[in-house]
Amino acid sequence: MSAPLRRGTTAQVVIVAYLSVAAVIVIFPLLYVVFASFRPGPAITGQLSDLVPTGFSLEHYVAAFARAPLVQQMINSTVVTIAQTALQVITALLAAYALVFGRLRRPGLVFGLILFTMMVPGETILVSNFLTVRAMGLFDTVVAVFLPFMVAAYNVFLLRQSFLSFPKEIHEAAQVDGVGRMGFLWKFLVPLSAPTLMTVTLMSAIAAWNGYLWPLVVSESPSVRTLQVGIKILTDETGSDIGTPLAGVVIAVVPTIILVLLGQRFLAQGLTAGASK
Amino acid sequence: MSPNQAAAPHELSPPDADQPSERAGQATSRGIGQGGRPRTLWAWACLAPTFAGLLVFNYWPLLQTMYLSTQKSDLFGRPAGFAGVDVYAGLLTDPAFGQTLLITLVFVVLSVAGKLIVGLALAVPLAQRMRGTAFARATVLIPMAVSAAVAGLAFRAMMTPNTGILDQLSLQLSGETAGWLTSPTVAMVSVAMVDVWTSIGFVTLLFIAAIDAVPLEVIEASSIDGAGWRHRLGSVILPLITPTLFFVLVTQSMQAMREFTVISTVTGGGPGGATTTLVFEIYQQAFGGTANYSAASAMGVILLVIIAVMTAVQFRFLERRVNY
Repeated sequence: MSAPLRRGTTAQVVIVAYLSVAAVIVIFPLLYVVFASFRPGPAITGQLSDLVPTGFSLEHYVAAFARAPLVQQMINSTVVTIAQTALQVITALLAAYALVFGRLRRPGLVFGLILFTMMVPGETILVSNFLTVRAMGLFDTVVAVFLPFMVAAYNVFLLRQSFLSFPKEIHEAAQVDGVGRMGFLWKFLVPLSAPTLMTVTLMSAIAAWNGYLWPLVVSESPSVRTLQVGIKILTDETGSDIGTPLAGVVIAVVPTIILVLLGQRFLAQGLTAGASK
Repeated sequence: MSPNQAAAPHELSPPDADQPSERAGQATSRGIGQGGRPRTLWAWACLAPTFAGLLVFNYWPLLQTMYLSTQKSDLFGRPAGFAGVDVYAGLLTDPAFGQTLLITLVFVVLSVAGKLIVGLALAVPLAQRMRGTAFARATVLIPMAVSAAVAGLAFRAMMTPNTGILDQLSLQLSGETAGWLTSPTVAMVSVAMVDVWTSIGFVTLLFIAAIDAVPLEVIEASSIDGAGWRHRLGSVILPLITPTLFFVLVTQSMQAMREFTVISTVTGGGPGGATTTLVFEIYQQAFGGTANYSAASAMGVILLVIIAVMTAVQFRFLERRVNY
């Protein structure tokens, strides 16, 4: 793809060394937290030995689980992630299907109405959504955490883009052959656009798992909070004890690291879609 | 296999041209288009969940936010009489709010500049696909997997006075503590730095993709012409990836404009409000002890206007590129 550097090995060694050092610096905050969370006694000391693992103890994890309902918060985060992702993927699939194959009279206008919401920052409508959710009697419930995010315009955008590449004749032919409207979506479009669907699912799931401001605003009881908010509260409550919240931090980061490493390929495609049109 | 390849025939067409050809036929027969009406019923049924969600959680709140911003607010956040543009006028003449906007601007500039510089510094060598860089390539993408809350708390630990490793580092190097979390000026650098870290995987990935797309012949030609690497970077690679640079500039400016998590977890808006940006102030007004929903809503509308301008710039730019 790109130009191989045809130069002396010295230059190559310098570049590889530079990149390796840069990579270690980039990743260092995570290593630091992992080492600290397993360190016996005070998690961080300010000594150079903080840079490397010293000893192994689960005491900070034990303290973290004792201090906050982390298991419950993990369950909450999982429920929120699954529900929010499912809602976002299903609504986007249906909407994109209708936009591309629905023979609407003004599909551009309908699409514009959906896309327009990408421009409205969630922070602008934060107060209003809070009032709506409270009026619905959903304040301090797990449902309130994911329900307002049931539609993601960007997912509609990506799936529509993918569906547009299908010849319209296939749709007509399938109708003639007696494949139902929904049958065409599930049996043809979904399998054929699997890579895009995978991208959309992964991006939605990571965003849901990592949500912070809205869950912070809409939950109050420790047993309703998600993990991201839970570990922040853990920090506030434990004051100068840093080991306990850092153990929580490690617990919160493991699932997304796994998701990103497994889905690297799909994520790269989805994230660069907007830039490399 | 990839969706990008699959969608290739349509990707170069402007949005209005990518509708199926049959639709063009339908448009010409618009007069008798009524006959086709029932056939679109199922399509509207498919769109119903999307519009139900948008109606309740996007369109309505947008209207309500505008309404609330024209109302006075009582202690419990309830609307207490029409205030017209008084809330806006009050905000825009309040030096404290001016300070908040200034802090937001400084944060956005520091954060975006940092992302462009660090992203390029990582992407340019990584794009060479040299042997021995697989580790670095995989590693710099990992921040994409880390939530802003996690990153913020990790950095906060590193910046803790006395025991944090970054604080110790500044103590060893300069003989005095940098005050990552306690000095108003340095704290701003701290939050910007953490924000750069959280986006660096994504930004680097975009830059690598853009540099990869530069035709090999162009780079080779410049090599044959005897261009040094500095010239090749400045005169060949950077101009050719300008679209991506611009995309990153706009989207990351919007992201930084809206950043809440990093500020909440690293400094909590402090010290003494030194890192309280517009979005953090919205949160403070509405949920930080007071329930001043009218001020929070007016600030939300101001945020919307700023973001809308940024988005308009982005779309105008994207359109121009798509039409090429």
